[in-house]
Amino acid sequence: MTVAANVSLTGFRYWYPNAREPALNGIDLDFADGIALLGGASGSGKSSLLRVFNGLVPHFHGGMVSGSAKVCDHDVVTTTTRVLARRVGFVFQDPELQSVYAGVDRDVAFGLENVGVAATEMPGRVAEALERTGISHLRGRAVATLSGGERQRLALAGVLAMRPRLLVLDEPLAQLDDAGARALVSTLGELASAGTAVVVAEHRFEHLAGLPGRRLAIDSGRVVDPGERFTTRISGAELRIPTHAVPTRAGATGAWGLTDVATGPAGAPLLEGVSLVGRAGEVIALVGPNGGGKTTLLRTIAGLLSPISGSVERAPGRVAFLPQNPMALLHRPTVAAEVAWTLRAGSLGRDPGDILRDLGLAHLAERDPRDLSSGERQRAAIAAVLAGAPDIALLDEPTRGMDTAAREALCRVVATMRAAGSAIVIATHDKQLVGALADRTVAVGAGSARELTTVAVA
Amino acid sequence: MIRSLCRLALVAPLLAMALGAFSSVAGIGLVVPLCAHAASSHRVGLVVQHGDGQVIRRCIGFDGSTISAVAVLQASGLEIGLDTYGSLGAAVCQIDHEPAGYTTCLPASGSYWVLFISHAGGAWATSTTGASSTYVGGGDDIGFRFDPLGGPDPPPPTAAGTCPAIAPATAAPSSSASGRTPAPARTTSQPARAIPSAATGSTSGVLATAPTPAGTLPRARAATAVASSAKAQINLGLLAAVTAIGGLFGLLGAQAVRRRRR
Amino acid sequence: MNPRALALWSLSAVTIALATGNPVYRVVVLLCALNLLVVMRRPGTSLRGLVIALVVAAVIAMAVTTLASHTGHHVLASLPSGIPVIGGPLTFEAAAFGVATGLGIAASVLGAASLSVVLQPHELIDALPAALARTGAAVGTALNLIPGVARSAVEIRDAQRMRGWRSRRIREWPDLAVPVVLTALESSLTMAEAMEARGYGSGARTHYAEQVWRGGDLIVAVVAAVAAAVFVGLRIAGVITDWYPFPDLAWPHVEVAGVMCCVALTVPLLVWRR
Repeated sequence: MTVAANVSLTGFRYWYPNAREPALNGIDLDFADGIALLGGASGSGKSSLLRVFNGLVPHFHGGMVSGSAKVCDHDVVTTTTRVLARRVGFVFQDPELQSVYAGVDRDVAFGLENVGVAATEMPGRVAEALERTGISHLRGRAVATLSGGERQRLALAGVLAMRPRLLVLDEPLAQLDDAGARALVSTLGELASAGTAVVVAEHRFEHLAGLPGRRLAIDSGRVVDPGERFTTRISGAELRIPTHAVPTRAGATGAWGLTDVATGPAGAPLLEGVSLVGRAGEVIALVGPNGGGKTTLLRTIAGLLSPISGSVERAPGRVAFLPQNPMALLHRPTVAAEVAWTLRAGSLGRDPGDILRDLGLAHLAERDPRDLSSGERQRAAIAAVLAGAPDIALLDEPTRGMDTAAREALCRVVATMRAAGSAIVIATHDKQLVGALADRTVAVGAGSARELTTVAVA
Repeated sequence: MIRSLCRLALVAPLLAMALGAFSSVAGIGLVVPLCAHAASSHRVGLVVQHGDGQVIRRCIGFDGSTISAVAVLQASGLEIGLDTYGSLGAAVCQIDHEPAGYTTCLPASGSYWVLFISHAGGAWATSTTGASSTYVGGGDDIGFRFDPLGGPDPPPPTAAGTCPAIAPATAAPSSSASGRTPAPARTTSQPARAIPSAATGSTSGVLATAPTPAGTLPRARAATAVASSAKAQINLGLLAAVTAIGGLFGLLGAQAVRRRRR
Repeated sequence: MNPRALALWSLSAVTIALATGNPVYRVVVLLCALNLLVVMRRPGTSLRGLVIALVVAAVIAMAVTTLASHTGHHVLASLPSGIPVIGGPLTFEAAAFGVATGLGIAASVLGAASLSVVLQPHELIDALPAALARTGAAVGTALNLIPGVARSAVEIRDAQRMRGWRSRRIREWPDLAVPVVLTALESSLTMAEAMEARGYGSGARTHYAEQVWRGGDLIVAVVAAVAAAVFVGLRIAGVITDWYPFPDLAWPHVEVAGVMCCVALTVPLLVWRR
């Protein structure tokens, strides 16, 4: 098991099909074992580089290649994905889009079936993989009943069943809550010390800080000195916003209120006895585990979900709701058209350029949103939803999968809205965001929503 | 071992089908009633009553143990018109040029040919199946009556005397073979021979010596035994069906009760 | 419980139900299938919707047959003959035939429904023969994606509504449909990438063999196959006849052997436990 992974890229360049600029512009990298953490802004070539390791670039995505890339003593360009799949395991960002079958055991065996492992050998390897990821207790369960963190570990087990020498993970913590993220990270640590080489690309470095290993960074398709890229604290001085908790301003008008509300997604109450008030010019952060009711609470405030009991009041005015995957909403040909659509639909006579400037997207106004990098797309989606200075703004996990630049842009927009008198509620796992912006914090989970007086900021 | 058992499981249905087909062809009594005199032919009586009351009688002989009503008509030499309804079989539209012409076989109004069956000299009963799906055995009779739609169907005059009993071993050869020879042996007086029937629907003789006038026919004792055993078989099937249905409903009810208790 | 044995049972039930028009056999098959469904269904599935749908179908069959077929002796009511198709006498025989048809529909649907009510979808996919294994994986993946797409459709609708979208005019539905479709496409591409990363589609596959034939499964398979074969054989031989109530309604002929073949379909209840 301690055979080295032997990653070696020399002058590697890669162009996506029909792209003018190369996504990877001369990568020189040597990596044999241990852990490597890869950081970089979205659009920097991080995802493309990871996909070179298991051959998805170029075999799945097509395009042009120059230079050489060898992984586990195989040349990536000339070796099929079938062979590389036995050497390199890949875990993706979305826990739900990696499982093929509906049963845990069956799904772990999927990879083994693909490469033609004998049926008699499979049960043993499935058990071994479940053991190594620490989810043996999930045997026989239906995949649909697992939480996001458990599904991510299931994906990892499915990959480990193939006994790869190199494990590559592309933003695996993005959709996990703290507990899920911690469990996955500790598993990675164990795997690395047992001899598997691990490469992890992430934005949420707060969880990876404890892992020993190399730090790599990539920018504009080249490997660069990591330097500042691994610090993700949002510095208040740079953003010119107050970083201390602002006490509620006297005389601030109430924007929304919940009185003894019980609410739940399917008619069964997930939260009970919730009484909260939100005032204009105030940012409230909702924290808590996944599945605890943050999204349900947001939807109740927005009016998308009727409470089972109790009453919800909103001051008249526009309510903006930013869902967990705002990029899914984009359907217009240009970014500016997307923002204009919202303004028109809400009959708001404002200039689309305002919010684009706030988010640093002014130069991308006429581009198709789906051509942008993922960070730029997220910002475009935020612009589309929050345009028009809403009176109430509800944001559900807005910084998920965002790089530092995008998070800073979001903070600027939220601060601007607060200054203009919007009442803002943000459901998030991002502790730095809470520390930078939140005036009040509410812990949501275990059936209740309680306001916290102190928040531990990592 | 399991694999060979599986293959055996696949062979079993083929075997069953083969047996069923074979027995129906050879008349061996695995699935069809035993014919007591398999070596000699059987005969059925055919009675056709026109709308104006005119009656035609024929005696049709056949090989094998059963014959369909349509086949009897075809063997009788009478002119017939048939119409087929796919899997439902054929219906009789015209017998002996009545009706003279027709566009639809079973018209929405007017008259049509009603099919009757008499088992072993018993009373006439309307058939529950179409002419091509109705089968009779030797000693039974088939009747057709041209009758208006609506209202009850009186049966045709009895077939008594159409086909006298065949004397065993000394049977006239004219009555055997292809069955195309209608032999109304009505006038020959023969001693009534109650031939004991080994199983249902066989050639038990049923007739008195002389043709009786139209009216009910006194049943011979053997015939009674045959008729009642034939009826017993139908009842047994219905009885089994009713028992099965009752039992299954009971099972369902038990499940519902058990679920409610949980 | 072996899914292939259940599939064989299901095929036998449907075959017997459709082999004759005799409503008595159909009722027995229907009750056997219903019993099996009630006992063996997946916990949490309700049969109510299915039963209601079948009752509706049977009633429709009876109504259509009565209104369209005007043969038979016992007239219940009469519509003026001038009306096309449904004009004419409405007879009891036609109604009875319609009921028998409805029973046939219900019996065969309940027999086939066992495959979806008793088995999990992936069990059914696993039961496919090895030649169809890749199709099975593709179908299983699609089934996994459907709940996610459904959820994202609801989220997209809510979010667009908050942006000001109103579902008033047909012209506005692309604002909902396009994001949903694009999301579904992107999800499936992501899924495809994940599958390729695990070696899918690159050559001969083996099977995570879980198809075990136990004694009970064998018994069910053999009994179901024999019952269907004997029934069909008897039908061909003419012992079991079709039931054609025209022009006069009469009780259907019932053969003991036929009833026994139908009752044999309850064997799974004896050997299988949920």
